[in-house]
Amino acid sequence: MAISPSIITGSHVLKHRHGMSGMESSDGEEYTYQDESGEEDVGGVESQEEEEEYSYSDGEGGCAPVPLPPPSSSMADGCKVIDADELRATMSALIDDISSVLAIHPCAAAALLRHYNWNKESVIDSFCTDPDQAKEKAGIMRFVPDLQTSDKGRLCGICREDVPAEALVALGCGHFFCRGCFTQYLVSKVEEGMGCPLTRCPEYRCPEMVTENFFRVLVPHATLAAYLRYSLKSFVDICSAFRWCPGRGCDFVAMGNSSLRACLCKCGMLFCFRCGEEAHVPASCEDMVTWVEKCKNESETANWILANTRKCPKCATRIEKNQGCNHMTCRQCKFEFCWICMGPWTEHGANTGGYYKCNKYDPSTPTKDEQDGAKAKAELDRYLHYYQRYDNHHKAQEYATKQEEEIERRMMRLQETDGSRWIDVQFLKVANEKLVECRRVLKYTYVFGYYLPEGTARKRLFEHHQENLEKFTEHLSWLSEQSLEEFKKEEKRSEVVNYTRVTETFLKNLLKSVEDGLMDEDGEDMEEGGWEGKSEPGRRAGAAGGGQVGEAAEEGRRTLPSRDGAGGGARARRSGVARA
Amino acid sequence: MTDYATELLKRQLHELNKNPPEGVSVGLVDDSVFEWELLLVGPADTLYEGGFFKARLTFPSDFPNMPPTMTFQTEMWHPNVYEDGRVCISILHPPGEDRFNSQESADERWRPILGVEAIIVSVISMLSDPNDESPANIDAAVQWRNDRAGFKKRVRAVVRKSQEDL
Repeated sequence: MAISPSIITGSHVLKHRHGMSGMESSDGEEYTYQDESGEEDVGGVESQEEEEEYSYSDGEGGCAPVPLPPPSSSMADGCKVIDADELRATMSALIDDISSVLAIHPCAAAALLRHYNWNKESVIDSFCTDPDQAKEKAGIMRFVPDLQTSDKGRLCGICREDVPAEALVALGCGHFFCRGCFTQYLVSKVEEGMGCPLTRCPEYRCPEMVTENFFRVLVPHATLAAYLRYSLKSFVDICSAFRWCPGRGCDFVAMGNSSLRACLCKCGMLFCFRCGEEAHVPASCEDMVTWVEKCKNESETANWILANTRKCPKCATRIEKNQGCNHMTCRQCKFEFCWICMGPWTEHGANTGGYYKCNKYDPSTPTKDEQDGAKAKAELDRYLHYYQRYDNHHKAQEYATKQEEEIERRMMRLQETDGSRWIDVQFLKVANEKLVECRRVLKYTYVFGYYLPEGTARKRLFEHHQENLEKFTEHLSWLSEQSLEEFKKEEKRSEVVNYTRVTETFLKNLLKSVEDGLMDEDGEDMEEGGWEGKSEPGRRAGAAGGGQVGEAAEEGRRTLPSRDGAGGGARARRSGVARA
Repeated sequence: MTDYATELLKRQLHELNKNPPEGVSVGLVDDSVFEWELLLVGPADTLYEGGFFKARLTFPSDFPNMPPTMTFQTEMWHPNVYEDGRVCISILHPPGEDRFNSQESADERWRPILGVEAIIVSVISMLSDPNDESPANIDAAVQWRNDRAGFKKRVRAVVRKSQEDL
């Protein structure tokens, strides 16, 4: 990628922090330079891919309302998706269970469960060891299922009014308040949000818990509904066996365990059960946290500044020299100096080898500043390499997801033009779904790859898998976008079908290989070029898909170099992996 | 909600004026019943004895379900008072459970039953008995713990200043 703000001669004073590619679109900040003529131009970097045929647009993949068939890969197994009603039933079953085992009221059972983080065993353990202590901790020491009424009028401690007996209410603890103040208190607790299931008596230091029944009796309908939602939400948040689907506006909940890497919701969202983000195999949750943090913060911007700017020797303003001669004038303090030696320009002349020359500079002894600059620049380049490809696949994934409707239309039209059956045109949809999946995985391979140590056999093996998947994904993408006219030919259709299958095989190989710790079957030390004769993934693909797949793969090998999008072209050409 | 709070605050102000706790006088800052001014005489037998401390109480619109904030206007030197004068004691913390906090401290937090009088009582007790477990002013807390003589000197200076400012 070329870091190329538009070409302006002379010196620039960096007016703002400088942004980097991709970053600026995400946070909407604009970074401006000012050149000597006072014009502003937007700094930043253009990605080369923008000129390609895809007209990507922003937008959410979001939650499609239509349930999709499960993806063919086995990534989403072992996870059950339930809706709010089923969830409520699960929660009630747990409460009823405790209620009957310990012979206590369900509301008291719920309070106990909440206190012991919904862990049935610890509730029973603690209760059987010392019931009074367990009750006290859970705030149900003096639990009564219904509101207490007073036998005489009293002063309400909150509003300080004398209140007649019939308007007073209390929990089991017997602290009476007027109904209005008590209700007001409960409503304000629900308005506060998440903590409302753990509301206690309004009396100072009274540990008695306000259980669900009291909310039911006292608060208005809408507030009660909110209370029940928060109650359910805290149940899911606390139990590690549940996870809300992160899809926008989606209320489904996944049941599973933390060893699950991916979970497919009924809304179509595929997410990681452990961290609740979009499924990110092969990258780990930890890698994702670091990566997202890295992309968010400005450490790379700082690196950019280090690599591309120098401080004015007088006022220390950061200056970027884009073009022009070495005679710099700081816009800030008007100090004139030499870009090469950073010394005052007044010292330059015949004795430095000519007015516009500076023989003071000795390249064999780089200064500390320059060494740091070079290091930062190298690290920045490395990051940008990964980020750009990550971003590219991300956009391609969004594009492919958005294509779903268009694909449906194409399928309809294809059926109309040549009278093929619904089942005959499914291949387009299947191919697109595979594309979305591959794009997603490819996106995260760049996170995974970024954190894999350089120069290791594992990394070489990984990049080999990545490159294969990338090649086939790009080719499948191109194939499935051909005109409908092309798809009238039977061989074109089977080409798409075959490529979908081969691509899936490569996808599985990549994920399997990462799962196995990226160990080559023959041991660790794979030399460069050793791939030539091995062709492992290709062979497996051939074996899996039958003869036609072999042809497809062969075809892919021949056509791909010219269509190599995000992958390294040189590597793609060198390796003959897909040989049948 | 606001009417409810207004009504309650008026009543509490009236009660306090009629029957003020020892060494304390209260009044409104302006016309708003949500901004109170407090003059606190340093309690006898404490380091703060003889001082005249001005403080503000700012009430939220959802009082009494949420607590007011208290800020000393007079310069203060105390482990539980921030350098900007804000008082940090548990009953002035919003009510509610914090799953990651021990239950005892949640019990000590604000409840709607508490009124201005309870706050005044707590602040007086805070002056005589600083809590250096969870300090707001760390320097003051360290000095209180390690250099009691220095702490006393500093407090005396604060007391003198409060008398001069009056």
